[in-house]
Amino acid sequence: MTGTDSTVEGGTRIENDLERLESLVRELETGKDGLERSLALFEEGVRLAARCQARLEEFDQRILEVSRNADGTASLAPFAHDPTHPD
Amino acid sequence: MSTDPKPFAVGDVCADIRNRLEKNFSNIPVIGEVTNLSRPSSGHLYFTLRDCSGNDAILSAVMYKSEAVRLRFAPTNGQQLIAIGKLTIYSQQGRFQMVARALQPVGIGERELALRQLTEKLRAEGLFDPNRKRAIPRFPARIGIITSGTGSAIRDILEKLRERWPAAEVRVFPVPVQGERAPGAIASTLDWINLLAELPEHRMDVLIVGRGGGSIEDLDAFNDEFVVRAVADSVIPVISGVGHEDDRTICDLVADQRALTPTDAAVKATPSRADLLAFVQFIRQQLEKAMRLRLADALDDLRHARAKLRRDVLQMRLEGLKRRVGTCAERIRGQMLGKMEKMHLRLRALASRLDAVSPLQVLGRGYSLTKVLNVSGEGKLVFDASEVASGQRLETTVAKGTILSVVV
Repeated sequence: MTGTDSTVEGGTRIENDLERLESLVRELETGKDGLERSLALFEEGVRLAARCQARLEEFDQRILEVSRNADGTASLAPFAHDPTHPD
Repeated sequence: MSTDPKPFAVGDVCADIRNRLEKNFSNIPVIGEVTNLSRPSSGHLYFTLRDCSGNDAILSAVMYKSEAVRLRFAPTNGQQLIAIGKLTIYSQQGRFQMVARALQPVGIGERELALRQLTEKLRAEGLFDPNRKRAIPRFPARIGIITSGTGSAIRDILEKLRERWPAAEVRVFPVPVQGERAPGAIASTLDWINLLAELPEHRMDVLIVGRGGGSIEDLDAFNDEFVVRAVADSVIPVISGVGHEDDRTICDLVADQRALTPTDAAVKATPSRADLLAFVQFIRQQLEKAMRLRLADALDDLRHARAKLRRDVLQMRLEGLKRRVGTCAERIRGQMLGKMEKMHLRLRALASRLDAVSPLQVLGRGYSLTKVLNVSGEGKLVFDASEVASGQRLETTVAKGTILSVVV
């Protein structure tokens, strides 16, 4: 199951990054901060935006099939969908 | 054994059956519940009549356009009606079917009625209440799919998820979606997933329940009370994507989000990566814009400060000048005072010298001045006694006062 956590974490981090980005812009737009603080916000924003963009471009879908064991626990296996199956 | 009959051609068998059928069932009324109604662009009306007297039986039927256009009502699925027509064989498909000439409605069918009754019961319980709907997370990390492991639905869902939000891990929970076992399997899988949610490694953020299109009966599992209640009870938000756009199930009503198709369910479960990329670009522009504005503000401030500084410097210079002028005035005044003092002293000295030569000083020592006055009273100092004649008036000034006298 290596990679599971990083994928899940990746999604969460993007969410956090996007939220941080939005709040950065909001704060910067008020223009109440000193110039030095504004510059720091701006630099952080540009860095976050680049990171989000990179993440959004690099995702690789992960698909697992879950089956139920007799004791109610779950087993995970790579999901193989047969595209030729006629349904 | 040479008595084997000569084999018949398939077409001949079909033709023979058709002849017998059409002869014996040329004009019969059949009562049933309409299902799988379809009216393609040809204008013919295709439907299935399902037995509504308790037998498990169906009859395919068609009403050709020429008859269908004369219908005074629009047949709907679930409707009970009497079809009048002949029975025949559609030999290209080896299928036995009814060709209806007329249709008569008979209230609503049992299946449809049951569905309506269940819908009303659940509505009364508040299961469709909008306040019960859970929000679909904006950025799901794990998406659970409860549907058949094969077929178009799972393929469509996975395809759309990959396109929109490959960040999410997808977990497929294969279940039968039609047939007797379907409702139980779907409901118990939903319950199980909710139990598993207590384990972080098995927690789903959102569930998609659904199946691809089929006949109305094929969607029955999604109208099953157990399935509907399992969806309602799920603590994990559920998106229902069943059948085609026009299909509507109770599962759709109770789900937190209704999707028109399985593909649409995948759309409703995820943010779009393309949209997010555009959003990030937009944010970047906003950042730059805000920073530009901020810099412009700072420049403005700088300009103001410089102007103020310039004003302050001028003010300071002016004050310096004022001070200098003040000092100068002070010095000039001092000098003037000194000069005036000196002049006073000189004046006093001159006055005393003048005093010394004043005739009045001589008078003080006993001398006097004598003036001869003419007739008009003007006086002329007398230096010689011959200058006066008898009778003239004299004015003599002594140290204190004057004496008037007449010459004798």
